[in-house]
Amino acid sequence: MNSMNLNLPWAALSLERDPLELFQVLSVGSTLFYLLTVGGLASLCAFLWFLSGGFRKVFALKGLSRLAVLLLLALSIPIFLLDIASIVALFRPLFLPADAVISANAPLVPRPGWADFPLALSGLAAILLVSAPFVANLPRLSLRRILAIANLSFKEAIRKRVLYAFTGLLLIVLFGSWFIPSKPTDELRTYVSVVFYAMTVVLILVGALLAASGLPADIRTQSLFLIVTKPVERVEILLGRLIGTMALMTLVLVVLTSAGLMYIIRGVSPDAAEESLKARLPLFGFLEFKNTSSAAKGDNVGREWEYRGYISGPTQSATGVVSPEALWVYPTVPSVLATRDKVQAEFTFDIYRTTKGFENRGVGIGLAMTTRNHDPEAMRRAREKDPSLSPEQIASDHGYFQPAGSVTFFDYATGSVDIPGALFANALKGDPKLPALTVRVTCKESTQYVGMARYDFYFRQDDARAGAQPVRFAANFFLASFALWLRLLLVISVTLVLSTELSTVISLLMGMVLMMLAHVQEFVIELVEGKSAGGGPLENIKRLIDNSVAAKPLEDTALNTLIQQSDKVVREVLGALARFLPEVDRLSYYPEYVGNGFAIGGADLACNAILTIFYILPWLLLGFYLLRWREVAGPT
Amino acid sequence: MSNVKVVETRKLTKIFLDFWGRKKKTALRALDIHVDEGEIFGLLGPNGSGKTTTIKLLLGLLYPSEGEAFVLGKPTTDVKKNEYIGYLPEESYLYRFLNAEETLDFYGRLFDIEPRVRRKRAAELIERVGLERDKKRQLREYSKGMRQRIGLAQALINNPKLVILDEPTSGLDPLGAYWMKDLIRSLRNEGKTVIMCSHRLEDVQDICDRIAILHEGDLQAYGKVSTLLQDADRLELRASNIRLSENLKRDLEAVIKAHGGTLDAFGHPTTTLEDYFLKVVAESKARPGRRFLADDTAVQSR
Repeated sequence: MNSMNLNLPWAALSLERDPLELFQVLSVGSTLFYLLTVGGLASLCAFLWFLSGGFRKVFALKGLSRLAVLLLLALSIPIFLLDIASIVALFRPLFLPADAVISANAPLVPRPGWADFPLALSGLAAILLVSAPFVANLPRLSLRRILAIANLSFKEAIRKRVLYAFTGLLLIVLFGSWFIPSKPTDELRTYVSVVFYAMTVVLILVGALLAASGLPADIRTQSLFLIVTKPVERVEILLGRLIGTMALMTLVLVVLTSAGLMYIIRGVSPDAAEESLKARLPLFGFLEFKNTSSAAKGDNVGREWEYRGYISGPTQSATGVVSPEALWVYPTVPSVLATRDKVQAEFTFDIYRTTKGFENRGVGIGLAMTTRNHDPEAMRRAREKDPSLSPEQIASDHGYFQPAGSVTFFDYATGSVDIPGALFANALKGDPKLPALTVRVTCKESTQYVGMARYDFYFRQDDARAGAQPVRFAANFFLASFALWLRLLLVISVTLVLSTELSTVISLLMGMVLMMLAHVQEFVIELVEGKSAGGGPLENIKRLIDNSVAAKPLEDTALNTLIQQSDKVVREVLGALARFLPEVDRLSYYPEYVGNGFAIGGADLACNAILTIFYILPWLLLGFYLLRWREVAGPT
Repeated sequence: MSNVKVVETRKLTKIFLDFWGRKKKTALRALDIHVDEGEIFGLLGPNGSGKTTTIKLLLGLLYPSEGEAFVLGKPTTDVKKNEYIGYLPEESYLYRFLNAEETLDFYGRLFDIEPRVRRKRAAELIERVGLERDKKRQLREYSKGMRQRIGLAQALINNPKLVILDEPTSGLDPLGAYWMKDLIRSLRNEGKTVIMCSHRLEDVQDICDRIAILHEGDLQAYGKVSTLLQDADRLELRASNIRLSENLKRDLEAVIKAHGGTLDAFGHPTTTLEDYFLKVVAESKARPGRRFLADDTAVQSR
């Protein structure tokens, strides 16, 4: 049986960071990290307030309130001391040798692992202390007032004709096809990219501008005077503005998403629709390599992008012929696959050629799948006994499947193989401690390398033969749109909080800079860890002036040593700041899922929603205090 | 008018600081006043004297640097006090993209008023301020006078106990000013307390029961308008049905009686508020500092 099909487009997910699982986000480790980071910041704020006169207010409290505040303050002391030690540690590089390694992920102050629990408890006390006034204020909040302010923000944006800003997007929908290539394999991916890129830029800019301008404009025109002289809690103004702006942006997002979706579904050619208009439900395994230089990363062929690991064809070694392998291990498989006649496996590998090879001919690979119940000896005996055993029978009885004939694949194409559902039925039996299924891939050609990453091979859990799936695609499109909504929520919340104290321009700029830093978070971490080419920022400036290449080490002069040491301080500060940046990059990848025809994982999206909300909470608390302490009026 | 203190300030002081926390300006110094329930109280002073600062402190728009203030028995920082306050600022700070109905509805919602009550009260107030025909127009199309009217309506949407008016007649034509003064008097008649500050001294003289005059942050004069405007060094005689002559001046009572007339009034004559105000300010400039005693019944010693 030759079940290979190479007519699919090049649909591949390149996920440099694994999708999140709920158990990761809600794990003890994540909770500790959150409590240590946010609690650290909270304790710093609490003690600064206390020492700068807040103690008078604390001692003015009576009875249990005073006791509770003093107790929480006392419990916050350890995390506060850790903060102080961390701040002192920022200057540590000045006293360390130049080659000392600094890591963004390593704690600034080294401590034993067990210390994190009591420190996290101390952080929790600091968070409770700082959020107590906000929580105490909660019963006073009125939904009617919050919605009144939200409604006002909504009307304001509409009546001031802010929506006109979005009409530009219609031009893309109307004339975009003039500029978008019509190659069926790229058509949908390009359409999706264009629509999401345009929506992201316009919505985030306009959303941030609306958030940054509302409160400062109210303060400037003194319209806020009439609001704060009503029985309105200051935080109600913040929440009202947030809800109003988000409501408007949600409306716009829904309209634009629907328009974009219609544009894509109606505009995409039937060929492209047949090939790409779907939302695959992939089942990914865990990748490991065998007989390569690294079990985790395979062989390195020198590609700049180190996303994929490579395996070569069979090589001769002292012990005989060695065949490097890539193994996808599936700890479990869903039982629904066992009920199907055929399950489709798809793969997209990269070819690294050391010889030109033959024109229009792909690279041959070996593909074999075994379940945890597979016994090679028993299978051999059974085959000898009955050579006419079908692949389905072998899969069912012996947990083994290998496609008939040779399997070849091409660059930039997705290959597929039909697997008997019986293999999955077999995988469901047996010892659950063993991995249910293992997929083994080898390269057949000794002069070529095949590159693969974890997400390059998967089983289709959805119906692979359904052709175009506009409904599933549309649902997927809206999920990606929800991720954009989360980004909007992030940007609007942060900018709005900044605008409670800063002017429109400054809060807009700061909000945008924060988001840009968040987008290059990985680069910041590389910079902090000293992995970026040419050293730190100051060293790079010097290299620019000297016109020297990044790879060449700096000469050992006093100035260069000073530059390198100063860079270490900059890197430490950046490392500390990197901990407070939002995870924007995770939210920006979803259009890739849609464009490549992969279903967005619900758990991953839910995790990102949780992370976004937990990121925003401290910001809203900051906004509560800024607005509460702020004198709305100035000297007259 | 009762003896219940609706507003009370104790050594209320406001010092504005610069970015570095250095003293920039003392806008108000140790103000001790109170406002009784059901009276119309006027705050007077030249520009920069501290009257608007006082109002902003009472409303919680500014926080005191020293001293304290209470409105309806609550500290000014307590948001709950605002449930009983109506405030009309000098300029119309209303949202100009809303119409009159939407404006009143919005501010009504901020008081958490039920929709049915809100609609009823908004309709009554729109009628009271005479904007029925223009209630659907956006405020950006309103004249200054119309904006003052809708501003006053929003200040009354919660049926407040205390109404604070900052320059209520500013920018209004004589008819509009007359209407506003009439409305302020009617608020007093409804039992509300009114605090107003104004540059139009004749308006204050017309409608205020008591006043406080501020200059450069200091209280200069404080008390009943009628008492403050008395001139103790002179006597005033009012007579009717008689023509004044030199003979009458020599022996007033005898002459009046001799000529068959009636003595209508006998007492201290008053000057105009404007003259008095200018005198207070001139004296304050000549001899800066606080010179006033805080008893509202006391007569100033100058």
